[in-house]
Formats: sequence, C-alpha cells, structure tokens
Amino acid sequence: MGTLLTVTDPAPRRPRAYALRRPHWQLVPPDPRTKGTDPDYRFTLANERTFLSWIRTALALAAGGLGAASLLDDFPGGELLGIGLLLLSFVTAAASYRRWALNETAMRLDEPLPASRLALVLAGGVAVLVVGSAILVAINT
Amino acid sequence: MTRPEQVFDPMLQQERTSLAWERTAFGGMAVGLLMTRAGAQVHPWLAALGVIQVVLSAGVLVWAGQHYEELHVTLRAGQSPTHPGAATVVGIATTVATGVATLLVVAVVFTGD
Repeated sequence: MGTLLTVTDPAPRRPRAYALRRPHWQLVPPDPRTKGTDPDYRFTLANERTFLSWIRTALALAAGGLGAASLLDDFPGGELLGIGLLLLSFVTAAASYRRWALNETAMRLDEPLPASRLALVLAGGVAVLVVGSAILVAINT
Repeated sequence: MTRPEQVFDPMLQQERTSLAWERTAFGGMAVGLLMTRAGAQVHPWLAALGVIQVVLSAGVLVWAGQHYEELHVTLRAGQSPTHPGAATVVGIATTVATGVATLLVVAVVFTGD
C-alpha cells in the first residue's frame, strides 16, 4: 500500500524545477507499470474512472457535434457548430489517455499529479462555441 | 444476521469503476448510431464506420462485465488493478472515432447534402 497522495493546489504557473525534471516530451507515455511501485488500488481505480469521465466527455461532445451538424436544419451555423464540437471532442479524446498514463506514473513514483491544460482548453473551447452560436442566433432572429 | 467484520472493497471502488466502464460503452454506442446516420448521408458504405463503432462499444460493455468478476480475484489477492491495455484501446479507439466523425461531418458539409 502506498502512502497517501498529495494533490497540489492548481498552480497558476508550472514550477520551473518540475519542467526541468521532465525527461523528454512524449506523445504516448510509456506503460506506467514500468516505473515505481503499485499505489493503493483505490487511487488506481479513481484514476481509471477519471479517464473514463474524460472519454465520456469526448463522446458527449461528439454526439452533440454530430447532432448539431445533421439536425439543425433551420440554423445556418449548425455545421460550423458541429465541426467545432467534434474538433473539441477529438482533442479531449486524444489527451485523455495521456493524462491517465501520466497520472498513473506520478502516483507510482509518489509524485504530485502533473498539471494539465486540458480543462482550460475544454472550458475555453465550449465558451467560444456557445458565444459564437449565440451571436449566430441573434443575427438570424 | 451479523454484519461482516472485514469489508471487501470499501466504498465500492471496483463497482463504481465497472459502472463507469459501462456508461462509457453506452456513450460509445450512442455516438456510433449518430456516426452511422452521418455516414449514410455521404455514402451508404460509410455507414459501416458507425456500425463498427457500435460493435466495438458493445465489446467494451461485455468486457466490463467480465473484468468486474476478474477484479474480485485480483483485489482479494492484493494485486494492482492497473489495466493499461484497456485504457490504451479505449483511448485510441475514441480518438479515432471522434476524428472519423469530424471528417464525416466535413464531408457532409462539402458534398452539400
């Protein structure tokens, strides 16, 4: 059983020491089991559920995008909104496995969980799409 | 009736994780149906992409049920439930599916349905 995880406060900027400690940037991180020791199984399962939540978020965005593109016949921005939601969905899906592997590795090495820009990208992206759609609705009514 | 002295899997972590896998599988099947619809608008054969997504997601649902049983053994033996294989497959499959869905919608827009 590993020691209790320390979850750091979301720092506005990544500490320099951490950036230097990072070996080299990899698109697909290696199998987490190659490093460290097994953490408490509850943390492993919680990390897995977080990964699945991100996947479901990506799937929901994809469903919204496909729906917007094919169902919104009266709304001229429907296709644009659909493509925007699908691109956001693609980014979320592509980042989610990476997040899972990096978090798992950090827990195995008893290090703080790595910072992620994924939440910021998703929130910003959805905000831009919503404002864009609102402007299109306003123009068309 | 007496309560068990030792609780296996406190707070039902394993069950919650299995349910999360199942929710994800259902979500994948729903997206697969929408992809089938979008694909059919471009070309009937492209509907097969959506059908593949539905079948793969149904596979995840079946796997989740089996894995739930297997994890009982793993956890009772005190071993790690890490499963990089499942995360890799679902992560890559979802990335591919959302990428394909994006291309389908772009194709629908440009073929001018």
